[in-house]
Amino acid sequence: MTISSTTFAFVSDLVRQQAAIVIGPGKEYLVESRLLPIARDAGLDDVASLVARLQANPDERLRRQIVEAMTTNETSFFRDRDPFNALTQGVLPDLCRKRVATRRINIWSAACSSGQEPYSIAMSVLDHPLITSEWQVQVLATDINEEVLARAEQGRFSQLEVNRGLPASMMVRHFERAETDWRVVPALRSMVRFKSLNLNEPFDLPFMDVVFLRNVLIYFDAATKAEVLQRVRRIMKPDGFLFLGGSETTLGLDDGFDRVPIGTATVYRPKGAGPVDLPSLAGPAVAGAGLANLGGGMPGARSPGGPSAGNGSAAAAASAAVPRSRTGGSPTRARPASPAAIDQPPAHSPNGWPWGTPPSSAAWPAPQPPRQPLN
Amino acid sequence: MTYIPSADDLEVITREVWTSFLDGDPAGLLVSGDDVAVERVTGCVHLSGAYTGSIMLSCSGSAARDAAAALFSMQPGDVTQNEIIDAIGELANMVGGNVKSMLPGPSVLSLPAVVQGQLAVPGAHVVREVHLTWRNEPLAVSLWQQAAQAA
Amino acid sequence: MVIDDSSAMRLILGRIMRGLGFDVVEAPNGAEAIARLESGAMPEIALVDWNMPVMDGLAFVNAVRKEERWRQITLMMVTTESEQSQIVRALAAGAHEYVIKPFTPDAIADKLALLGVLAY
Repeated sequence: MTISSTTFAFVSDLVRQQAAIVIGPGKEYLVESRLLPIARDAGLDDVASLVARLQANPDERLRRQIVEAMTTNETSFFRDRDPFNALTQGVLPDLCRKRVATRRINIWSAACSSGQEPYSIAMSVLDHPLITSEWQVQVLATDINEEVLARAEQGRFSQLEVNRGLPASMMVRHFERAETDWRVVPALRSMVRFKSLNLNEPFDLPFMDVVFLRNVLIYFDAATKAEVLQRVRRIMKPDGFLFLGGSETTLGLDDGFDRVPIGTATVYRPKGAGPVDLPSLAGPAVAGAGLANLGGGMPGARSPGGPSAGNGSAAAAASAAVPRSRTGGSPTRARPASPAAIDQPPAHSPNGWPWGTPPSSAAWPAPQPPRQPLN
Repeated sequence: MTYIPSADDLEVITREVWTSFLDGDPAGLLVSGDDVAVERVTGCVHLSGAYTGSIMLSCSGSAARDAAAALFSMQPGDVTQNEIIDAIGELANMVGGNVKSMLPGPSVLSLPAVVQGQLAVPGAHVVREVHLTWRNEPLAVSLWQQAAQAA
Repeated sequence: MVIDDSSAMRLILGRIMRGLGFDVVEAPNGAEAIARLESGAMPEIALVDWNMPVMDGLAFVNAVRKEERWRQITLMMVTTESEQSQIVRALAAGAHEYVIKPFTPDAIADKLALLGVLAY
């Protein structure tokens, strides 16, 4: 039984009021999974009863518990999925065309925390068929907190952390076991550079093609948000891309950006950047493990001067043996990729397609209008 | 020199299992100094292959009842022996499977068995052990290794 | 479909899946799960434990992937087997996703979202 829309509305209103964080549609499952334990602890059967209790009896402790449960920093890989789909299907192909002269792409993960975001970006790059070994792609990962930065540099994640949002096929190719943990393999680690940085102070960075500034502006007041956005825009290439968190927007803060939809994601580009060339949305689906495994064996080294991508026999065997699964940046509903452009999938792919169409749907779903960013 | 999981590793694994399924609170599982292994209920899985041995999870009857109640979302008073066997077996399976992945492989993990009392495997000895406390009840996790076969 | 020899685990996974909008059918091992499929059950997704009596999860995955009529079924292993080589084996046999036990409900939901099978 899924939670009702009134229950969901109550919770998202509460969280918006108390924490200025928006829980958008599509997150009903999160409300269910986060609040059910709290309901149980309170001796109740379900989330609806929990909400009813809070409505009947304003209970500050319970209210705080609920808000905290909903706003705990979700550290997961490929968080929210859409931005990474947009990165793979729209941004990287566009940059591959535009940066042909230098063959260099700079990406900045501006509040990298424990590292899931920069490593997710790096995995998307490593797996991208258009980014061959002549390209130099650097991911700069910064955070103000030196302790989490040190952790992120280790590239070690617990079993519980790698269970979150990381497609299994990517896990076996980009990670290796290290005692009770999983650790990023050297080829992935070498793509990311870590640095301590305070967004609230002037910073000096090389010009960036792509910036991920996700779920960090929420911690600042409006004036600071505007300053940070302006500083970020100044170190972005004029035709660069900025990703914000799902409920964030530059509207009302910095008018130097245009809001550009890419699939179901929203990206911000410095004004005048021009349209995003998106033939890849009709071309080969690029996200995920499958395409990288075409022709068997690992793709060539992506990182500058990095080791060849043979990460040891386990990973190499993985890439040769793993069928093109539907994971690895599998897109959400709007998925107009043309079947004809995709190579013959291996016989045991579901429905014949490596990703995109859930096995139960018979035909490609019609492209959906871009989701409005939540303000 | 092959790596054998340390007592810390056993603790980390047990803690991950406990916090995922039994306790919202990661602090609910404490390391106790107790050397006394209380073996009222023991869940056990065996390994055979590159590593031959067993992983055992032992706890008091009342801890077993509480664990089953948590896993099955029941009141402890409603828990029957069937739930206890299933719960302790699955907990031993989860701890054991994760320990297996840190041992030399490949090895095959058996289905769990649950016994009331202490279990001993002829020819095997304890190589690692960790003693924990959960809700004031003792809990022990041990890794056993089969003695090497004569050449 | 939730396939696990532990009734506690079937209960836990069943609850998570129902909370996400699915109807749930259970089986205690691979053989019984195949029997259910043979008699017409067509789940959108099957959560499959590895170590089970009679027919284990890997054998189940192999059996399902051989059949054209079961092409539609998404297969996600949920198991304590956590060696890299085991995960590779499962994916190579045709499992679409893999969750290591112990897991949290969020982790299951994440993977289902990745697979595109969530109700919303």
